[in-house]
Amino acid sequence: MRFSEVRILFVLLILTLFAFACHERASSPLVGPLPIQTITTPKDEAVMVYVPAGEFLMGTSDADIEHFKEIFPLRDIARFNNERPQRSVFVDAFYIDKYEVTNEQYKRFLAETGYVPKQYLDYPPHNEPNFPAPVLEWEDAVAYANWAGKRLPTEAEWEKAARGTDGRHWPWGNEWDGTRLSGNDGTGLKDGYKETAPVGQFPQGASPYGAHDMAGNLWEWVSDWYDPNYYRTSPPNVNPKGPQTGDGHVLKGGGWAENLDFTRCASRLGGNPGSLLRGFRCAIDTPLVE
Amino acid sequence: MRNIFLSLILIALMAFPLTFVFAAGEVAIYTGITQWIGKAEADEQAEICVGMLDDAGITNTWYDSDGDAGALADWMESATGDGGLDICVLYGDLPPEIYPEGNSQTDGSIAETFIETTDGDTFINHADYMFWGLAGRNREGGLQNMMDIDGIVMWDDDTPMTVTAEGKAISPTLTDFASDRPFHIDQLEGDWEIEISLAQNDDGTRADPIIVRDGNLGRLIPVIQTASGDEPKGAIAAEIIIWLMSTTPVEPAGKLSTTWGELKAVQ
Repeated sequence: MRFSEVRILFVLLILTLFAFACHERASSPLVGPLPIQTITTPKDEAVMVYVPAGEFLMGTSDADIEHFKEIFPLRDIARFNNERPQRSVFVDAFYIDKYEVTNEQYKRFLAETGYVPKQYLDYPPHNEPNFPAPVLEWEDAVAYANWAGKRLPTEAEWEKAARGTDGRHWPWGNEWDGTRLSGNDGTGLKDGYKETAPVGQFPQGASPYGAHDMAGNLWEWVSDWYDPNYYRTSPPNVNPKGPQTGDGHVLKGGGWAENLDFTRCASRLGGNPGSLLRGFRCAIDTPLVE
Repeated sequence: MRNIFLSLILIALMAFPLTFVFAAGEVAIYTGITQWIGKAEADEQAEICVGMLDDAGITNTWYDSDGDAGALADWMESATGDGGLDICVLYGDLPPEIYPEGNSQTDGSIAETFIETTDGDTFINHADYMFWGLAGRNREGGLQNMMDIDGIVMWDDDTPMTVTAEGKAISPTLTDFASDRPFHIDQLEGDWEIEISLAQNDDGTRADPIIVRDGNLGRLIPVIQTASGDEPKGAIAAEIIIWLMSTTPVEPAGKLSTTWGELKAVQ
């Protein structure tokens, strides 16, 4: 073998290794199904799933961005800037609602307390009992959580509950699959529902810890204030609770009407952007129930 | 006296080409309520738009508070049928002050009347579904009533938009992107027709931005209907407005004949 041939083989080897490196995120093995532990809280009769203490990958990495360039070729990469950099974050164990809070649960709260929500969309097609409650104001979600003896999850808790520890893009994995979530175009032709769907209709899209509808259906409030630059300010890596203030509160998970890149676990939105239909699910610390 | 008359003639002749630079219309930008785009991001884009319009000498008013919707309604009523091309820029919401919520006035609203004169008055919309309304107060009915086209919708997330030759010429800032609420060209009916498609999908059934016009009446221009504020919505809107106003001749009845009439009176 001549020297030039050896050199060509060497270059090919390097290129092959480089190609593998570039696709590390997309091809890295996903953590398999985890044992799902649940409890039911008495006040709101909500099933909650257990998320153990530990670290997980929060946000979006450079390798993810390269993957996004392939799967969202026409999206401005700047859209993902508020999710960067990715970092390892530790959160204590907690429970999170298996489903988004439903209209049935929210109306029970209203009936028992006489609370007057600022903006709760109690009209068709969103107000069926087993549909997620469209609670457009963060304060109205907090009021429910207080009544139920719970709280809103932090953004870190929400994201860990949705994607587990392996940094996957969506609750089910790294590849888009429109059959695994409530997401449609208003015609009802995609998932059988014109807009939102009853909670728990897409078990195939459940998260590694067994939480449903964490992609699609309603955007979900978390407790953190929204600051698009927060991840770049070296926030705490242990039980982060977000900035002191911000442009509204963070919304996670995308909704029935929004495009696929917003339904990624790392996606985050702030600024109370108008008509986005948003709801919520609650969390509790484990010592309170153990 | 003769010198004065000749001077007036000279001034009139100098003014003549200037009247063709921009139609005698105004622009109103409303960011009081925004949808699919945060208020801060909408304000940022509106500021860019205002700056470019100012530089181009186009009269504009920015209504940036939700309490400004009444003032927007007043502006719209005064602009309707005034002989000039007036443009209202929305960031995803159609205030109930100009289109009563829940489609409770399907015809004759301030907003609909605005686009039903030969002034060619125009709505530009960014971000969310055109005329959907906060929390879906109008839903699909908003667009359908405003256009008087039953069944027209604006669905189809992630539709690839390729900039056309006309789009490149009119808006240098515009690049290929994915529209989440493109205009459905294939659902146009009646006198509505495409005036200019600035970007569209491969089979030409969806477009964004696009200028559609109701015969010789008003126009609708969806511009970058995507969630969030990452795209340069404000700059693209300004480029389209500047192009539209610079290519729309002033109504002679409203301008030149008046000038000549005044000259004759002086004579």
